[in-house]
Formats: sequence, C-alpha cells, structure tokens
Amino acid sequence: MQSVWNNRYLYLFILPGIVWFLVFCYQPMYGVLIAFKEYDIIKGVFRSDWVGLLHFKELFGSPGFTGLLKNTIAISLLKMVFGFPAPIILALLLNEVRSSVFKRLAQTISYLPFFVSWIVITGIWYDLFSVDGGFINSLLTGLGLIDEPVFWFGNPDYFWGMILASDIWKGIGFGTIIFLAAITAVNPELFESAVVDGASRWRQVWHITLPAIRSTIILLFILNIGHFLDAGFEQIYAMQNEMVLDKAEIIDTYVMKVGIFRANYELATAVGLFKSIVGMLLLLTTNFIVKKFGEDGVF
Amino acid sequence: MKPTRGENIFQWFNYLFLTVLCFTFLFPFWRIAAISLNEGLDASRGGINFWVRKFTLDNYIAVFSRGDILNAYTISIGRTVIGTLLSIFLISLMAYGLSKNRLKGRKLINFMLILTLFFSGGLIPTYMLYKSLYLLNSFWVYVVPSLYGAAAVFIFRSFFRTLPQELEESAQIDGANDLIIFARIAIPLSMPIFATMALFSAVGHWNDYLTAVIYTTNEHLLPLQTLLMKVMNINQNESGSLAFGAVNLSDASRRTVTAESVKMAMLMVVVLPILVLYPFLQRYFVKGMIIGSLKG
Repeated sequence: MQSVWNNRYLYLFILPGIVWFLVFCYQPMYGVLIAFKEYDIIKGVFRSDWVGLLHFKELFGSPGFTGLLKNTIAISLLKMVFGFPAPIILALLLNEVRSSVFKRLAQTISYLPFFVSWIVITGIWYDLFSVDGGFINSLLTGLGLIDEPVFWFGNPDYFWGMILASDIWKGIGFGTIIFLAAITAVNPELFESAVVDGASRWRQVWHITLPAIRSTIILLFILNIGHFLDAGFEQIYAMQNEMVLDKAEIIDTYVMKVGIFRANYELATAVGLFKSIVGMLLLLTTNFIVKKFGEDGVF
Repeated sequence: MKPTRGENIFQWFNYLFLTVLCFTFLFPFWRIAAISLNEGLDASRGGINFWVRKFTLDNYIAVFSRGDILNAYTISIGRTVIGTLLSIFLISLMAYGLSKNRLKGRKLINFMLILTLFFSGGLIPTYMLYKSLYLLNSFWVYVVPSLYGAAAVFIFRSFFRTLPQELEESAQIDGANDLIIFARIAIPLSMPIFATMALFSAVGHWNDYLTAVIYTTNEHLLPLQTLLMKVMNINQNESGSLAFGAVNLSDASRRTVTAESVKMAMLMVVVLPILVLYPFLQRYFVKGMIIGSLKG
C-alpha cells in the first residue's frame, strides 16, 4: 500500500483513461448482446428477452445481404490487390530518383491529398469527372478516346473503379513514408558490393531493397486484413448516390442506414457483429499463416 | 560506374511519370481555385482549367453571406482546438503513467488497451451508449468519444521510455513529485511528439464529417465538412439537401454567381486552412509517422 501511496500521482494520471476505455470501448462490447435479443427500450439491454440467432437468420435470409457482402468484399479485394502495392511501387520509384530536391518536392506534393477530407475529395472528383464540362471528359473527348461525355459517378459499372482510383490517389503518397524509411535504413555497403559484383539496378531492387522492406510489408498487410470488411466507410458514404447504390452499399453504410436512420437496432447490431467476428478471424488466420512461414507476426 | 543505356531510359521515364503524378495531385485543387475566383456565368461556358478568365470575389461573398457557414466555422474551430488540447493532455498523462515500471497493474491495463485495437462493439451499441450519455445533439459528441485512443497512448508511451531516467531521479531526490516531473521535465523534452500527435489529432477533427451525420440532427451543430456535404448535395439520399437558392442575389454585381461557382468557393473555404498550413506542418507528420512506425 505504501508504494501505491508513493505513486499516487501516476495512478491519478491513468485513472481518467481507464474510466474512458471502460465506458467508450467496453460498454459497447457488452451492448453487442442486443444482437441476440428483442430489444425493449424500457427493460434495457440486460433484461430484454433472448431470441437466439433470430436476427442472424433474418440477416442471412434477406435478399439484399448477398449484394451487400459482394460489394464489400469486391471493393476490399480491389483495394488489397491494387491499392496495397501502390505505395510500395511508388516508394521504389522515388528511391531511384537521384536529385534529392526533386525527390523531396515530389514526396511533399504526393502527401497532400491525405490531409484533405473525403468530402472535399468527393467534391473535387465530382468536379473533375462531371458530365458537363468536367476536365476528364473534355480531355478524353479531345483526344478522341470517347465520343461523348461519360457519367462516371452515375453509372454503377464504374463505381468500384472510381472508389479504387480515388482511394489510391488519396493515400499513395502518405503510404510511401513508412516504406521509404525502411529502404533508407538499408546498409549502403550492401548496394556497393552488389555493384562490384556487377548486379544491375533491377537485381539490386529484387535482391536487396525488397527483402529489406519485407517485414514492414507483412506487418502492414496483417494490420490491413483485420479491417478487410471495412472497405472504407467514410469514403464510400461520401461518394455513393442513389444511381449507383446497387454497387455502392457496403456493410458499414447499411448498418448506419438500417440501425440509425431506420432504428432497427438489433438487425444492424447483428450485421456489425458479423463484420467484427470475420475481421478478427481474418486477422488471427493471417497472423498464424505468416508465423508458420517463419515471419514475425503482430502477436 | 557509368549507367547503362537501359538505366538512362528508365531514369527519364521515372522523372516523367513522377512529374505527371505530382501534377494530378496539384491540378484538381488549382482548377477549383481558378473556378471559384471566376464569374460563375462565365465559368459555366466551360474551359477554365488553369487560369481565371473574369476575376471576381462574388462567389466568396455569396458563401459568407450564408449565416450557417460562420456557425459551422465556429463549430469546426471549436472542436478542433478543444478536442485536440484535451485529448493530447489526457493521452500523454496516461502514457506517462504507463511508461513507469513502478506502476502496478500495468500489464492488465496494457491488455485492456490492446484489445480495443482489434475488437469494438460496433456502431449501434456505440450509438445507444451516446444516447444514454446525452451526447446525441450535443457539441461534446465531437470531443469526448475521441479523447483517447490506444494507438496514440502506445506511441506516447514508447517516446517517454526513451527519456533519460537520471533527470527524473535527481528531481525526485530534490523532492519533486510525479506531477512536477511530468510538467517540468517530461513535457519539455517531448515537444516533437506532442507537436506531431497534436497535428494528427487536429487534422482528424477538422476533416471529420461522419460524426455529425450519425449523431446529430441539429443544424446548428454541423461542422464545416458536413455542411459542405449538404451544400454539395453529396449523398443526398438520406441526409436531405440544402438548396443554394437562398443566396442573396439582390446586388446587381452578384448576378454572375451560379450554384456551381459558389460550390467551388465553398470547397476552397473548407480546404484552405489545410492548404495554407500544409507546407509548414508536413514535416512534423512525416517525422511522427516514422517515430510511430519504428517504435510502436
């Protein structure tokens, strides 16, 4: 007890934090129980009646669910296959630049969209890709690549492409920071001896640079995969509209509309819980596989 | 060693590619600035990409003649300043406490924080919690739920662990308690991490639009980003839209203003604080990213 009293200020420092985490992180975890209950606002979460997996059956049986899941997985998969490697490639290209002034300037400019909100990005992209007078349509018609302006944001077929492109555009520059830091940490003697051995630039990248950033890549990949079903809530809610909703509704936007705008708490909680569990399983599985192959996992 | 022909060609393509890429990052902002400074009717004829054709400030006057924009500015600035200061203060306090081995129960608290990184209750239980805490339709919904974050606590903690122990020990011998040591020794030695974390927090506050969409129905509580969303008719299906017809066009000189040109001015108004501060602040972000990724 004496030591607790001596360190009383330290305990005081962390006390508000512990209360906050209990209230704002752990209370909602308990609230998840309503996914298995018939929520009664008067009885509260604890005393509401159990209904078992009723809401999950309703969810998996509803016709819209397949489309929802398909959109979420497709968008996430596109982002993983094309979006994840993009900053790695850009970092490798930046690393080849010999002029340090050009390199620094290019980096600084490429971070910029990262600091701008998805609402502003959406506004900017709506303007660039607009049907009447949009820059992209003028450019493409001017070059003779298309005959008439395309309604980029109004056609469901293009929606996934627009989401992927804008996501890469916003995040690619900022994503390079971590990889460039890892590349810079490589011992320059490795490159020097490779040059003596007559290795081309390409072989140096393949045999020295990429192995050097491998553990960074794997770590980020595992952390990303836990958020696989997120698909980008802020971005997609900003960019979706009535015309493209068939391709644009993802789990998170659906949860918000059903749960909050239409007050169907139980169903929306069930969807959210389904998402959390899948994310957790993906994370654990990937971490397990990565460790099997002898790499460092997250835990 | 002399670069080969293939390497030279690669270098040229690399410079060309990176230049084009940088152009795509800057040009959209430039174009919107140009349109926002041009007479609206003239701009609707198209063709304004790089330069202003007929200069005017009317679009900006029209934006600021809306009462709601000043209100939204106040909300955005208020939540950014209050939210950032409170959050950084509380997070650094907690991280400082957790950085000391003297603290009992450290491991349990650690585990409690790590778990929140991988699992959360989800949107609806969170919404119901805020409802019971009377946070819905309150200014504090912007501040209180984002006060802490496990990742930020860990980044601060690993920074505090690198501070020299001798300074603290000698201060303790002089009779200073932890509060004084934190304020007089730890904070002054940790300014880089404080600056970086505060900037990240501030940008997060400034750019957040979803909190208002989910947790408020009160028009007077809308921050700039959410107001912009409504004005631009972004995602008009659920949130409803505010018509721009209400702009006061009685002044003859403002007849050239169009809905489109005012939207562009509004975009600039929202993004300008970021664009202006960006060149000065970006190096802190980069430094912080590297500290966070290597130590965290």
